[in-house]
Amino acid sequence: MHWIDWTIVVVYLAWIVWDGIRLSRRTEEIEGYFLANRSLPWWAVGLSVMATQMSAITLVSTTGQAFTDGMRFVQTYFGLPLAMIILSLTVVPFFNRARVYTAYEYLEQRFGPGTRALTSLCFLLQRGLSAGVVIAAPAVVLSVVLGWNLPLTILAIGIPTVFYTMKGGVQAVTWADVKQMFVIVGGLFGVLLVLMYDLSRDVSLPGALHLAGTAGKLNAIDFTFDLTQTYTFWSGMLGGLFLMLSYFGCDQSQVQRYLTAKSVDEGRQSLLMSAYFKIPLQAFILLIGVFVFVFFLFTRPPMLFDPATVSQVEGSARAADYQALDQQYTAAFEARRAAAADLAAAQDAGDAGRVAAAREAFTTRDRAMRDVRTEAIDLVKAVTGNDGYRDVNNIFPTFVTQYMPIGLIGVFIAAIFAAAMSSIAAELNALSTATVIDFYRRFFVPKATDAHYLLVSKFATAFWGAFACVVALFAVGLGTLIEVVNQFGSFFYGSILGVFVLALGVRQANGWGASIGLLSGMATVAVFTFHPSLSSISYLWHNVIGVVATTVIGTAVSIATGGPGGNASERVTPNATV
Amino acid sequence: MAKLDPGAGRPPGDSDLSATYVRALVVQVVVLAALYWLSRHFS
Repeated sequence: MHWIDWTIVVVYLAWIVWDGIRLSRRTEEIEGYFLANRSLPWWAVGLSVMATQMSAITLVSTTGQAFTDGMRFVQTYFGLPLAMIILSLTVVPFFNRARVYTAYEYLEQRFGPGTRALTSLCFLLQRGLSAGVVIAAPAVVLSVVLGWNLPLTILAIGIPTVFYTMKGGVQAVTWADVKQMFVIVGGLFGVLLVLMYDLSRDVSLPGALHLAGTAGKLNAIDFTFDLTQTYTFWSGMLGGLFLMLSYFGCDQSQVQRYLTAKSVDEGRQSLLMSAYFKIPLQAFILLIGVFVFVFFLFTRPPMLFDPATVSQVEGSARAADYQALDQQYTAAFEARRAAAADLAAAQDAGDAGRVAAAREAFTTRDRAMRDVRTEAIDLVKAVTGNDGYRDVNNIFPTFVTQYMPIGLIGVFIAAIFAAAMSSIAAELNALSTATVIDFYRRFFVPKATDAHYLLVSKFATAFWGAFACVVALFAVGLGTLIEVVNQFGSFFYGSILGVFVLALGVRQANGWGASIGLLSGMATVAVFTFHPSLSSISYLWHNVIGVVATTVIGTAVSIATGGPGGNASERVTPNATV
Repeated sequence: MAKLDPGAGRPPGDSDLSATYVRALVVQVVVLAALYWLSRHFS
C-alpha cells in the first residue's frame, strides 16, 4: 500500500481516538459516562444508531453478496421502517420515562430481578459473541490487504476501539460514530464515482444495468412465499420486522444510543432517521457490489479472490487441476466478455431480436463462468478440508485495492476500520453497561461511589474487548460473516423480544412466565435450527418463531402460576428507579 | 396492551409525530416501488 494511503489510515485512527475523548463531557459521573447525561441531539444519535448497525461486515460482505447473488439481501431491511415507528410509539417513551440505564433494568420493575438477570445474560452472551464476529470480518480482509497476520490485525482494530470507549464512554462512542458515518459514506461514494468512470469506457449506465439485470443481479424484490428462502419480500417484511424490533428495541447496544437523546422526541427522530435512510443506503451499497460485477465483465477477475488460499492450493498435489481450471476460467471470461459487449451493443441499437439472442448467449456464457468458479471452490474445499469455504468477503477489498487510485484505497481502508470500530465500540459500551448496571451494581456492590462504578466499567470494557478479540480468532472460518452474525442474533432476538411483549402487552404476565417463556422460546428456535426436518426454514423466520413461542408459553405459564400476583411487581411503573 | 402512555397530557419533549410516521411509510413505499422498477425494467 502506498505511503499516502498509510498516512490517511494512521491520521484517521489518531483523529477518531483523540477527538472522541476530547468531545466527552462530565464522564466522571455514571449518567454522563453511560448516557451522556441524556443530552445528545437527535441527528448525532441517529447517525450513531446507523453507524452501530453498519459494521464492517456491511461493507465487506454485503458488496460481495451483491457480486455473487445480486441485491436480494436488501429485503432483510423491509420491516425496518415499520419497526422504527412501532418502537417510537412504544419503548422509546417508556424507557425514557423509566429513567433506566439498560433495557433489562425495566424488566425488574415489571417481573423481578430474575427475569432481568436472565435477559441481560442472554444479551451479554449473544452480543459478546457477535462482537467477535464483527471484529473478524474486517480483520480477515485487512490482514490480506495489509499483509499482517490475523492476531495483529485483530489487535489493531480492537485496541484503539477499547481505548476510546474506556476513556470517553458513550459520548466518545457517539461522536466517533458521527465521523465514521461520513467516512464510510464518503468512501463508498468515492469508490462508486471511480467505478462509474472506469465502466464508462466499456458500457453506458443503462447498458451496465441491463447486463446486471440479465445476470440476475438486480433481484431486489422477490414475492415468493417460501419459508426456506432467506431473502424474500415476506421474510423481510415479517421476519425482518421482528428482527428489527428486537435489535433496536431490546438490544442494549442500540437502546443505549437513544437513551442518550435529549428528549423522547429526539430519541424518536434518531430512530426515524434509519426508517428514512437505511433501505436506500443498503440498496446503494449493494448496487456498488453489482457494478463491481459489471466491471469484471470487461476486466478479467481472479478465479478466487482469496490469494492465501490460492497459494495453498497451488502448493498442493492438486496444483495442476487448479491451473487447468484457471485456463478454463480465462477462456470462459473471454467468451463472456464478448457476449456482454454484444448484448450492450444490441441494447444501444434498440434491436429487439438481436437483444433476445445476445441475452441468451450472455446468460449461457455467464453460467459457464460461474460453473468453473464453483469447481475451483470445490477444489479448495477438497484440498483444505474446509467445507464452508467461500471467498465472498474478499471480493470488494480485492477490487478496491487493485483497481482504485492511491488515496481512495486509504479512505476505503479507513472506512473499514471506521465501520468496524463504530459497531464494536457501541457493543463494548453496551456490554460494559449491562455488566455493571444489571449485575455488579444490582447483585454485588449496590452502594458505591460513581468513581468506583466507572473504574469497574472500564475494566468491563477491557474484558469484553479481550473476549471479542479471542472470539474473532475462532470466527474467521465461518463462511459469509454477515449471515453468521444474523444467525447468532436470531437465536436470541425473537425470544428476548417476546419477554418485552409480555412486559408491555400482556397484563397477566409474571416473572415465572417471562423467564420460562424466554428459555422455551430459545429452545424452540434451537429445535428449528438443528432438527433435520425444520432446519431448512430460513433464520429470519426464527425471530417470529421466538416471539410467538415466548409470548404464548410465557402467557400460559403466567396464568398457571397465578397471574400478575406471581411476581414482585404487577404494575407498570415507568417512573420507578431500581 | 399495558398502558404505555401514562398521564393525560403529553410532557415536554413528547409530541405527536403522526405526520412524521406517515411520511416515513410513504418514503418506504416509494423506495420499494423504485427497487421493484429497477429489478423488473433491467431484467
